[in-house]
Amino acid sequence: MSNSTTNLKAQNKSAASSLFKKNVRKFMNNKLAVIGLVIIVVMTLACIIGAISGVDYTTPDLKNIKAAPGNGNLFGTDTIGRDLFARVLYGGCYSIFIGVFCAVMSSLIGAVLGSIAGYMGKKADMILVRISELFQAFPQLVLVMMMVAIVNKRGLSNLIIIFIITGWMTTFRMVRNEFMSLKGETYVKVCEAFGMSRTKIMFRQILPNVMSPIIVSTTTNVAFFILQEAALSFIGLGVSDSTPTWGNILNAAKSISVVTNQWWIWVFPGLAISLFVLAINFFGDGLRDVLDPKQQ
Amino acid sequence: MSEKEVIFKINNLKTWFPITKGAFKKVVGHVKAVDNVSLEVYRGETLGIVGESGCGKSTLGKTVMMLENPTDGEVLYNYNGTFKDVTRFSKDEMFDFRKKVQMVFQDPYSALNPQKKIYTSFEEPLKIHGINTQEEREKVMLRVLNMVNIQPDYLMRYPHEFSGGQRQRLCIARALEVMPDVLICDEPVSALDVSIQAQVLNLMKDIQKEMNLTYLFIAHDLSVVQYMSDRIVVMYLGKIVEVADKYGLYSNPMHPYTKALLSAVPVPDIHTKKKRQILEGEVPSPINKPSGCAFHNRCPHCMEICKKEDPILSDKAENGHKVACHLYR
Amino acid sequence: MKNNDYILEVKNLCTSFVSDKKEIRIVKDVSFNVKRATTLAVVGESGCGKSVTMNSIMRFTGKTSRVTADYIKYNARKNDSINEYRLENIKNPNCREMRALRGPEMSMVFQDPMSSLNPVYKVGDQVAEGLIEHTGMSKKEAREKVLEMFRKLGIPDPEKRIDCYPHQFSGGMKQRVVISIAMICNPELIICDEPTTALDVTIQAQIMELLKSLQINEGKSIILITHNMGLVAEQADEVCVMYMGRVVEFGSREDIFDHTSHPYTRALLKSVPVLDMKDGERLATIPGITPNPAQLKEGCEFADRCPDCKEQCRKGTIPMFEISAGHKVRCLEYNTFPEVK
Repeated sequence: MSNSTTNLKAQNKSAASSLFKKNVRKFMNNKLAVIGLVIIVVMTLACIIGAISGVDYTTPDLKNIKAAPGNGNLFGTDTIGRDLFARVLYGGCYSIFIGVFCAVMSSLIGAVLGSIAGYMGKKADMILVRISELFQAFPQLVLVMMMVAIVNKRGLSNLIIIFIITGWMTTFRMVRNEFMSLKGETYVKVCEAFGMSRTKIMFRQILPNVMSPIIVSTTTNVAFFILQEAALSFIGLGVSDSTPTWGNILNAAKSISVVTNQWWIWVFPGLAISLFVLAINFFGDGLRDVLDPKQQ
Repeated sequence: MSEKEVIFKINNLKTWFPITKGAFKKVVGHVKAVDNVSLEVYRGETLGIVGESGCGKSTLGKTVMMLENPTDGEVLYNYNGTFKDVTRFSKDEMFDFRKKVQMVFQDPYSALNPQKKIYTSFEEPLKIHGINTQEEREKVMLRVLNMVNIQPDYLMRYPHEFSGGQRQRLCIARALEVMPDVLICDEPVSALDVSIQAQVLNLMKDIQKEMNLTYLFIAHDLSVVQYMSDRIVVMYLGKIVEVADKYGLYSNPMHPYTKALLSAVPVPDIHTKKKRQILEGEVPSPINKPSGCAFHNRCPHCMEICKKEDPILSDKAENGHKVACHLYR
Repeated sequence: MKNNDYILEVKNLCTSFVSDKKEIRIVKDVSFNVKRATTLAVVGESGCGKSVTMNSIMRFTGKTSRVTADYIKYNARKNDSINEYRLENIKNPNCREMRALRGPEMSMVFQDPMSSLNPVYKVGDQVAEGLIEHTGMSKKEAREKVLEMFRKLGIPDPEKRIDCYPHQFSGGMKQRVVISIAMICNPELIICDEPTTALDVTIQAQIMELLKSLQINEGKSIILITHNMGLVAEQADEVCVMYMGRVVEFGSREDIFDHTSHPYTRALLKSVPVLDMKDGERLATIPGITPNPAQLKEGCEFADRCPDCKEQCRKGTIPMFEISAGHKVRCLEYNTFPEVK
């Protein structure tokens, strides 16, 4: 019977229709989304290459404090004479990492808990919904301060943990609602009729159908977390000063004199943030159009 | 009739759904979807179940399949002569039972997972039921596809590329993979176009002959049920009002509801002039059923006793023709 | 006057939809006439264009569509004189002229009573809305009219029911309310798009009885869209069978049922199970599947599924032939009969 195996497998390639290819074509038709994707890729690559090639972002050049752009410093220098271009590149790595990592992790938690709550219903659902409400009620700022107070230092890990535990609720709610409606679909009943286990039905049958909204919300979450990080770092509760992030660089622009006189110190990191976040939102919108026909 | 072997016995089955109210989920009443139903199903026959929407026919099918938990009563399944109560099955016994009884659902458009290729949808049930090698699985898949006349290379496509009739054929094929003895068909053709319905119905008849299947055929369309079934059960508001073989039911309907149902079916023939008996009113809500006979407020022959006493389903004519009506005492 | 006989005359109606930059023709050269105070049944499977045809006449088809026709004449009868409206010339589907026609002259009953009513308004207000819009009647007068209509349509206890919300009604009652919305401005022509598909048979019988009485007692003209040949046999005076956007057979009820001529109509009649089938009798099936309207080939649309398909069936457009007075068939089997232009 190995003959038939190769037969079916061979047909897999010739007769198979690919959803993926169709989606790529659809995505390519959306100009704005493609531009977004290009900007995301270019900026991420630039940051990574910059970081790997080891640009000098730490040594202060005391002769060149607050130098305007040009003269060997593409973006100028900051308040203690460090090269802004290098700092924006290096900071980009951290910012993007925080955004992507937190978004992926919180989506993961949200998806798993949402699946359980939505599919199991009853007690499990009630408990998980209450927990999510509890987390939603906590102001993020207070949590960050608590963490700083507990571990006694500011740092990347603090921020990431806080972002993840306060960020999974939106995905959780969305996945839960999708599950509630999808578990009534006939194919779920068919699987139950075949005696398939609950975990298999949840994660192998229903979850793939919820994947597209999860992916879309993850991309928009990346933008959200980057902005959050910038905001927290700006008021001084984010990462420690030694690690540059886009928000941290902006921190220097807290004094009015810098804002009015040395525009480049806040304009360039600010531009980097806006551009990246905008690009992600365009990209996310494009993805939504491709993956989620309901929202069109 | 005596040589017929009973494959399923349903005794006083009740499936009630609680209605809850308020923050503390206090139970304020029940939807009595299936209320005290007793039935026997013979091996190899097609038992049709008809009734209007909300009469509990689908719930009955799902309860027999144990997709809904019964509130009370038993479902006995014949394991080589000994009857075992399905409602008390352990997890392992239930898993084994899933190979004996399978189901075809109403909506072929949502019965196949839209994200998965047909191949994957077909492979999964075989995998969980312990057919471990790919060759064997494909052998089974080819066999069932052959039965429903679908080319094997369609396996690699996604469900959205198929028409409704093809999808329903695929669903039937998938249910047959585990070689069931009983197939519960819940409105299998009501979502299909008329010209496709005949294809699927004929196919189902052929498969039944080939595999000696027992069908529980649930539908609201009397003429479809009549075409498919050997015996027919008429349900109204969660109860069986009449059971008869199909000739008995058609030529001699006894329950007033059955009579009205039969006369309401439009006939595509302009020369048969039949007396239309139009029922007043609508099906009452199954939450607060009328007292006594559930049909009494729409019944043209309603008597005093009908309002007080619920009639019992009992033999009233030959060939096991049972009716639950006070008119035949 | 000849105009008096027909309430609606449609000639060569074409509707196409644009999707993915391709124009797909859904309704092709559809012509039919509706006689005053009769029921015309339009039969066909899903996707045959029967609903689109009616929506094109009512101009409900939306922006992605293109509707063309030689003419769509609506002949309104006002005090013994005939007012002819040419619907195909109306450019803006929401202009005043069109809106003035919808409601007082022609109105539509949709398939799904559950979604035809707005759940947040009382049913009485929803019915009265059209009346107030078209006649400028006061709310009180309108209410009286609605009550009258409810009584006429057999809605029990109308004084109480008029202030209920749609969710308090059952399916059959909701459909009665929808019909009363369509009827409230006293239209001459009622288009019913599968009015009972979502309902049970006993309720279907009630609604059909109601429609028949509206036709006979009030002289309304009814277009009944359905896929159920049984309903056609019981309700229709004339029948229009459609397949893949074309009228394949048109004739009186007797023509269609006693002298079934098009192979598709024949197959359709034979493939439906009826109650008194003999033991062992098998249903006839139509082989194949309904083709995709975007991938139609030249020639007769039914050729691939037709038992007597010949070579010339696959070429060009098949014309209509009139095989007896008023009985027209689009099939080359009858090419000895006069062609209908």
